[in-house]
Amino acid sequence: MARKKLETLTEQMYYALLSLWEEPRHGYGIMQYVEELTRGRLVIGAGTLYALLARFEEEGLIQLTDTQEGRKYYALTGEGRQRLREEYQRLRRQMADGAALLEKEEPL
Amino acid sequence: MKTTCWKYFSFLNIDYKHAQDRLNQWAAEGWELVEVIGPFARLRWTERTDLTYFLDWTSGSEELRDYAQLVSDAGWERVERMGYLNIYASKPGSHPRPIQTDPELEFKRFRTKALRHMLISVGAVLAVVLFCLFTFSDIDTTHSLLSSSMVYNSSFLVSSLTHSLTLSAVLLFLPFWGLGCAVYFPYFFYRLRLWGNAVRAGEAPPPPKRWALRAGGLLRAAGILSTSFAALLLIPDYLLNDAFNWGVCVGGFIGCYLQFQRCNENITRRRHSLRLSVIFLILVACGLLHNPVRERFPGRIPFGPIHSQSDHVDLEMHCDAFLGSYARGHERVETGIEGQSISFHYTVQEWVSPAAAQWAVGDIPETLYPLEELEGVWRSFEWDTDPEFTGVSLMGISDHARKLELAKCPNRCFYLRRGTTQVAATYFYVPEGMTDEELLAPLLDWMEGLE
Repeated sequence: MARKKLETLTEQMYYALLSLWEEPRHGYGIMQYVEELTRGRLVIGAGTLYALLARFEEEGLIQLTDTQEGRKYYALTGEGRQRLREEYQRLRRQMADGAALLEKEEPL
Repeated sequence: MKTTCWKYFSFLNIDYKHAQDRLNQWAAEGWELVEVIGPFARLRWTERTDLTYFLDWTSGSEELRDYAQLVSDAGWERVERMGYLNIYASKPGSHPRPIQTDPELEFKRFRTKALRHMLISVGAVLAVVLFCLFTFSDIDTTHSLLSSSMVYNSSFLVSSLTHSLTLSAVLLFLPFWGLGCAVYFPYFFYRLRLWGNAVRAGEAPPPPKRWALRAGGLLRAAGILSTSFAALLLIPDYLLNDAFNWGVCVGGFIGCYLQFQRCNENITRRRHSLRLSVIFLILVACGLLHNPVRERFPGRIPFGPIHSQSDHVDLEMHCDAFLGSYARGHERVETGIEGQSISFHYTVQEWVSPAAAQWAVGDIPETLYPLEELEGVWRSFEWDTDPEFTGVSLMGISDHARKLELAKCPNRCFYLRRGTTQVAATYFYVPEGMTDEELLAPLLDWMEGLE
C-alpha cells in the first residue's frame, strides 16, 4: 500500500510541489495556490496535504524555512527542484507521445 | 419551536462514513451537532445552510498543533471527538473542501493513527484482565478459610461479587462484553479488508448492509450503556460499601485531571472542565455522606458486636452488592480472667439466595473436619508449624502472611455454614479448657438472628 519511493508523483503531489517553485508557502497557502492555478479543477484537502508535506520533508524534497503563528512555511530543496523538473519532462514526453498518436485521424 | 433535541447516533467506527452522512443529513434539515454522549447526539436548531461535517481519524489523543492549524485554516472547526474520530464542522461562510482528498492517504492515516493505537489499547486491556484473573484466581483453595478476605470461596472473583456493586456488574457483564468483541472484531477486520481492496483498486469501498449498520450501532450502544451503568455504580459503592476508599477517589480524580490536561482546544477543554468538576463534587459528596448513609442502611449483615462481652469492636469492611453481602472485623472478648482476653477475627458472607450460596461456596474442602457435636461447623487443623509458601501472586503472598501470623500464636479456626450464610472465624488466645461449643455459642446465636 505505502509507496516505497516517490518514483512517480500523483497529481496532488505534483501540484503541491509546483506551488513551492516560486516562493516558500505555508500549508493553507499551498491549498489556495493550487486551487487558483488549476482554476478550481484540483482540490487538496488539509489532511491529505499534511501527509504529503510530511512525506516530502522526509524524502528531502522540501524543507521547513519558518514558523509564524503556528503555520509552517516550506521551500523546495535542490533535490525537490530536480525531482519536479524530472516529473515535468516525464509529463511532456507523455504529452508528446500521446499527441503523436491521438492527434492523428482515428484509424478506420 | 424546539431548539435542541437528542437523537440516536451510534455507529461502529469502521462505518464512519455513514455517521458523517447522517450528520450532513441532519445539517441539511437545519440541525447542528452540539455534543455526542454515549449513543446519543445532542443537536441544536440552526439557520445555517452551509453547514457540513467531516469525520477524520485521529490517534485518540490531541492532534498536533500544526495539523489542527492547517485544518482550521482550511475552514474546519472540531466540535467533538468519538474515540478515534474527530468530528469537524465547517466554519460559517467558509465552504471548505474535504479534509481528506486522497483515499490511499486516508487509509494510511487510519492505519498509522487509529488502528495502531486501537490494537495497543485492546492489548493493554487484555493484559490487565489476564493479570487480574491470574492474580485473583491464584488462591490455594484448601487454605482460603484462613485468609482474612476470602471467607471460604475458592475464587476471589466469586467472593468479590459480595464486595462491590461495580465489581459485580463488571463480572456479570464480562461474558456479554466478550461476546460483543467476538462479533465486533471479525466484522471490523472484514470491513477493513474490503476498504483496503477498494483503495488498491482505486474504487470507493462497498457500503455496509443496512442490517449490519443497525446491528453495529446497537452493539456499540449496548457496550457504552453497560459500561456507563457499571461506572455509575461507583456512586452507591462509595456511599454504601467499604470496597473503595479515599485513595481510590483521589486516584480517580488524578486520572480525570490528566485526561483533562491532554485537551488543548478551548471547546473540548470547557466541556471536560465541567465534567471534571461534576465528578470531583460527586466524589467529595460520596466521601462525606458515606458514614451517615451507611448508618441509615445497614444492609443484610447487621452492625454491632457478636459477643456481648466484647470491649473492643472493629468492623474493618462492610459491603452490600446485588448477589450478596460481606463483612469483616475483629473483636476483643473478655474472658472474665484478668489480663486474658480472646482475639476474635471473622469474615461473613451472606448470599441473596440458597442457590447463589451453593454456587458460590461449593463443597467443603478435605482439610476441614466437621465437628460432630455441632451441625454445619467445621474446624481446620491448627497451624503450629511454618506453612510452605505456595502463592506466586499478591493474594498468595497475603494468604501466606496470614498463615505465618496464625503459626505464631495458639488459635482455633472454624468454618460455619447456615443456609445462605457462611462465616470464617479465627480465635486467638483461647483459655485452656474452653470447649468449641462454649467458644462458638455467641457466634451461632448471632447467625441464627441473621437468618
